[in-house]
Amino acid sequence: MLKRQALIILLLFFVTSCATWEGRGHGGKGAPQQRGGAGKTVSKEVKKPEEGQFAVVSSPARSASIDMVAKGKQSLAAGKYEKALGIFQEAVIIDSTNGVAYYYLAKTRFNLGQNEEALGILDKAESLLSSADEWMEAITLLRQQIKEAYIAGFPTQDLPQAAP
Amino acid sequence: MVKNQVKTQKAGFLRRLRRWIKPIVFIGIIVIIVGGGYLYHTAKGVEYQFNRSHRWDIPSKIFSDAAYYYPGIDIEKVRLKQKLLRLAYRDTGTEIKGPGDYSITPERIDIYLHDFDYPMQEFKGFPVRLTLEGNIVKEIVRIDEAPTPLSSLKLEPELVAAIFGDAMEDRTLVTLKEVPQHLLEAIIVVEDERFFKHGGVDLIAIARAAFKDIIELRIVQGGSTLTQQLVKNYFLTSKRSFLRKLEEAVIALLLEAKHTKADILEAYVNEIYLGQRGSSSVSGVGEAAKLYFAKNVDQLTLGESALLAGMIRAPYRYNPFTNIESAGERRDFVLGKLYKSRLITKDEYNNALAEPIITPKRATKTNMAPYFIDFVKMQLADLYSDDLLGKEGLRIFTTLNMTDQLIAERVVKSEISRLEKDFASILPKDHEGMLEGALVSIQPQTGYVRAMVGGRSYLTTQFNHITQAMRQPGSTFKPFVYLTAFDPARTSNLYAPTTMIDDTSFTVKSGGEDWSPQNYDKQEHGRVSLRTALTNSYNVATAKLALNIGLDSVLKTARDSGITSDLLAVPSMALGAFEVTPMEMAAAYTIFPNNGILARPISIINVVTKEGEILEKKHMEMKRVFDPQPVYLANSILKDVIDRGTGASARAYGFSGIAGGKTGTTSNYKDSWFVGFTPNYLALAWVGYDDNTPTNMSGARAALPIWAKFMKEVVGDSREDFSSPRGILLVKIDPATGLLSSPGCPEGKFEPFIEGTEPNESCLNVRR
Repeated sequence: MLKRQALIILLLFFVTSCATWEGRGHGGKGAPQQRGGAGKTVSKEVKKPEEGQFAVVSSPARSASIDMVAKGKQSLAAGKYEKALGIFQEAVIIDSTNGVAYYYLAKTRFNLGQNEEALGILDKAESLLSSADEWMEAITLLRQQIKEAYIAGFPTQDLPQAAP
Repeated sequence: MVKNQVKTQKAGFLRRLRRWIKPIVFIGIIVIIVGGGYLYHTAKGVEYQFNRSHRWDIPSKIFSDAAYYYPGIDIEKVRLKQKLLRLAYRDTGTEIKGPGDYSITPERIDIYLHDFDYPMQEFKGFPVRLTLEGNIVKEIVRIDEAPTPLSSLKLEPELVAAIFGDAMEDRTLVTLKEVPQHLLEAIIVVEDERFFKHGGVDLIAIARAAFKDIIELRIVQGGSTLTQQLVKNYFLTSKRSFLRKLEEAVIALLLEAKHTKADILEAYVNEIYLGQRGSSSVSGVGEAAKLYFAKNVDQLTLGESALLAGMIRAPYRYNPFTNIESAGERRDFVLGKLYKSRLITKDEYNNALAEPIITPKRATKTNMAPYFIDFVKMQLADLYSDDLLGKEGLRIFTTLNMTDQLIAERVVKSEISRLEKDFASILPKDHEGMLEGALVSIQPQTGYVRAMVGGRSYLTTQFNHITQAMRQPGSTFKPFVYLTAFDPARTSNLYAPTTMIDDTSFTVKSGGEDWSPQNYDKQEHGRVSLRTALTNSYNVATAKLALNIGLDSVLKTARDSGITSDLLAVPSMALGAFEVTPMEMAAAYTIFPNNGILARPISIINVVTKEGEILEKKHMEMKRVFDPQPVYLANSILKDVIDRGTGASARAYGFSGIAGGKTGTTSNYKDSWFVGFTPNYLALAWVGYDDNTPTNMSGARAALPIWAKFMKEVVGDSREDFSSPRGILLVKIDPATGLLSSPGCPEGKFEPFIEGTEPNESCLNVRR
């Protein structure tokens, strides 16, 4: 009886140890680890670069550019696309790293039927807003709209390939 | 008998007379026919030339970009005061009253903005106040009827250059309605009191003038009417002769017969000569108002109108820039005439007398941004004829930033002189041509060309080294090799800044001959990381890398970056042994600060007719040509170039901002380059001889100081860093092996990787 119990305990211990060993190999919590030479695991110290610097940076140029974007949005909403275009371009000139300004510039050019140009500017917006999820959603949506407009006007194979 | 004698004499006389009648009648008929023909032809010519559409040549004008100011900006850094002077704003002391006035105190700057016709928008000037704290703008407020805070202030573009027709006349057309009544009255009262009473020629005025001339025994008074003056300036030359005077009178009479007084007066105020601006003549009150008072003609005060009218007789003698006293006396004389003629009241007269004559600061530099202007003119010549450009008054709006341009011109000039002085011992002795230098700056996100200096002195040579010189880029091309290596879409092997490579000599066949690259220090450096190889600009490692990843891939990278010059997929291409223009190189480099997006370089934004119709409109155009992740990796090394690599001396020259860049030195030191960029701004500097004589100076020694001193003034110590895209990880790596750091490898440093490409092997595996 005692021998049987000891065997069961040993078996359970063995099974548990194997399960734990398998779990480590598939990257559980904590830094990923790799089996190093001679069966040793290697820790990898990883971090992300500081992101979102330009989504939230506050500078005089950024504040002025944001105000300009607000003005441009009024013209955009009123259907005054040429006027809005000029304003958003000024917003970009004042602060050339204001991703939101590029987004609205792209939107305005799309409204003016300049689809290819809009896609290029949207790429720029995306590169500056990559850490802002809500803006990335808006960019994806606008890109989709532009592509649909393109398809409506052109065969699919002529569609410019925007960045993934 | 006497009677018979008289009769005989009379008959003889009549016979002799009859003999002359025929020829006299014949000659008379000829004179009438010829005279009539002349009059008819002249009348036709006058009508044709005077036709509204043919009247005047209006030069086309080239403008810089507008400038923007906002709370938080440092007015010293952006040189606001110098900008105001260049825009011909007048310092009025304490109070601003009308467009073009400004006043500065330590606490504030008040500016009454000029009116300006932007493309698609007519701007009416209004007064603004910039409240200051030291040099920093705290607030911008519109200070007319209802004070309103403003988030930004736009100052109008600067007039940089004009394109003239053959006549070289600078003119701003005005209608009679735009000309102040006082100015018209002053002109008439001074130049032609009886303008509305005569028919083109005033015999009474001529007689009066002749009488005065006889009394004084010299010419003291002209008897020409306004119409005659117009005819002289418009149709004829100023040659003094009886025949020319006769012709002038005939044309004046014809003109008055066919046209109204209003028509003639309007032509006069647009034609009359009122001084010089450099080599061009200032014609008409519209342009004269801008030159002498920096105002539109409809903004002139009574005193200013009186002075302008008085200047017609002798623009040089009464020039307020050079002869303020004479100008003041002449103005007072004209005001007196107006008062005596009861055209102004006593109060108006006294107030005008008390008015100080305030002129804008006269521009001393007449040839501004000459290389950039030539570059713009070349593009315009492709679109428009010389006739259209010289005569139809087009307005061309460019991307030029005059503040940056002036800094660039000063730095290039002073640095080239300094190089010649400091390195006289290594420069070639008695070299025929001068050492040349050039700089171009671009706003990478928009593609806007902000400054261009094509040579050390436009007077010496108009050859634009930025747009026309084909030079080898040398090591400045290397970043494109590394960019190709880092891009998984362009190479089958995975490379990262930590990938190790052997900087040991090798030989390959190229064009049937052996090719062996050599490092500048003639050393081999053994096994090094790609980061080390690019930071220190190792030729051997770079060439090896290019061969490993494939020269065709590198060539494609160059093409995708916008390099269109001839390129061959040969090993030496990796070291920049082909020719490009510096403009091409600068434009290609914009993909680095722009995260892989190529913005098309633009120098002309709009071309607008004098009626306001837009002929040409260029928008920003951009396109992603590289994924952002490999560009980020390349940028991380290019930052090291400035922080600790071949470009590190930029810090010694005073540039302390965050930037990336690359030196370039071609073989035998024929070209010295530096291209560098912050997230918002890129500049390229080049130094060399036109005949390719070696300068014996590296890119770091010759071109880098120009770049650093320019960027220090334009960008300052900006701490804005390059944005990092998604899909980048920083992993701690052992620099000696390029593998994962471990406690057993003492030096560990975080290095960037495209996610999924980081190493999985420990440094201990290699070090053991």
